[in-house]
Amino acid sequence: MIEYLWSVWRAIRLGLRLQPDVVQLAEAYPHATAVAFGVVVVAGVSLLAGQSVILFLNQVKPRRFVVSLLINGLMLAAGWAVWSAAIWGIGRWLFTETPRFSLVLRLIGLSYAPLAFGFLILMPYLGPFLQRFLYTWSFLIALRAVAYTFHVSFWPALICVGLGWLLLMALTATIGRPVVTVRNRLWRRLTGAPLNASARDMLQQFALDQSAPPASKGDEP
Amino acid sequence: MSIIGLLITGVFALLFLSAAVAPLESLGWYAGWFGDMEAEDEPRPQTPPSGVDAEASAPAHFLIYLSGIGAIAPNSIPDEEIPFIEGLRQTLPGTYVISDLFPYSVTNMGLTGQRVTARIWRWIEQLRLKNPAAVAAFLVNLRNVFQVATSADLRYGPIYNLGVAREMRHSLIRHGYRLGSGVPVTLLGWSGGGQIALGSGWYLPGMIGAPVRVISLGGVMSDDVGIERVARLWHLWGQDDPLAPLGHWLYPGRWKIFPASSWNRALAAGKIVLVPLGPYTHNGKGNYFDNETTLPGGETHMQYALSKVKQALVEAGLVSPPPG
Repeated sequence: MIEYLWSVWRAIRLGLRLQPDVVQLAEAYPHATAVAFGVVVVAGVSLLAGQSVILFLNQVKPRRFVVSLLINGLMLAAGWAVWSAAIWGIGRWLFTETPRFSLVLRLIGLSYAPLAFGFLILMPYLGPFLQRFLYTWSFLIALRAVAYTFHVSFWPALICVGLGWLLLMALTATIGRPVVTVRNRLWRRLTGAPLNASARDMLQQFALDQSAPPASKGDEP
Repeated sequence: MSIIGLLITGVFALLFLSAAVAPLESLGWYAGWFGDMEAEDEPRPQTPPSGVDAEASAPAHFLIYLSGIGAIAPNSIPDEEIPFIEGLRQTLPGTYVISDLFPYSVTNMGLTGQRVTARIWRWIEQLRLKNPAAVAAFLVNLRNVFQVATSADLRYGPIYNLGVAREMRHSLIRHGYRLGSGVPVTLLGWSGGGQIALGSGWYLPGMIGAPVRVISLGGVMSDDVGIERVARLWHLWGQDDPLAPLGHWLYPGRWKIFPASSWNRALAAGKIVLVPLGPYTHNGKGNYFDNETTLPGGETHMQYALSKVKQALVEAGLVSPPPG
């Protein structure tokens, strides 16, 4: 177990920079898919920890809190598989290179590495800026992963990732609806909060629910 | 990586980690992880001595003093602030001054209270007693700065400020305040206490059924929505104070290009009164509590700051004007 966690940590460090030699490592390392899975689950857990205000607002108890983090890790892993499949399919359709699905899966998994630091989104003031930074970093690594696996430059990689995103949106709105519904129900049951609820909306509503101030006394305007 | 590189990385990692865990205390309190917020006992008011008419002896105005980020516990604040608090009591007749609130905790629990880290803070407190400029004492400031940022953060502020406002209400009751009496309350926040005062101002008026005003003494404040519910905010600031304008730079709602923000609307309506004090610094010689450095008029920095606090409260009709 410790050896596995150590491999995940090394993969996160490798993923942060995604040098070309990582492709060889991802191809040759026997447990690379399991390690990439670990990276994505850690990212999911960490991201929700960073955005856990939603759980605290719903007064989720510690045990449920931990379960929610793990479920988010697994949900992100499911999303990773679908996302990788979309990239792989579109890449094969757009480009001449035909890499194995497992390679695309592993490298896209490494693109989640920056999100392993998602717990830092908790930081007051800087947290929301950091969140955007981590997502951008992750997106750039995904672009690089596509460029390496399909042997293309930046712009074709960007088109591939963009089309992959559009495909996912189309799937979510059509045949993927039942899956999304089940996911949202599971989430609501676990946390008591809608999956897409904005913490700010809830907080603003919460603040508005407090009693209004009395009229000012004295000579105030 | 060299040892120096490792050290620098370690310091930054610790800094980021400390900042990330800063909101957990208030969030955990709200979620009921650290005590049940709904089950807190209502404090009992102090009973007046027999033969004293409670109505007649009740103060006409309450002022809650919120210490700066150097505070360790409700009864452990930097020495320089103590004469100022005494000065408030002497300068403001008819005003009951409360100074037993620790604004950097939603439960009013000082750092040396029943915390896992209490021993470390007690050790730092001892160090600071021997040498107020000890480097370890800086950790207190750092810890409390993160709480100020938590209060100002849109995600956590509503929870943090709710907790502190509840503690203010409890403290008022402990000191004989009668809820619903309409007796006005002023929150005087020094440095980071200015933000906490403003943030709590969203809740406190509704909690006690009375108007609440805020005085910021060199306060570092965000564009907190609390300004919408406080009756007035006076911001007393020193021209040589580099920290008081920080809130202006860090929070876009205070920039002039956003005239619809809560802050700018309050400013336009005259609800925010800016009071320049003179060449005050934030820390060290020439600061707000300096009772040696004098202004051209002959008053010390502390005396002048006290006179400006009094002037504001007199103008608001909360304190009787000086005779003559």
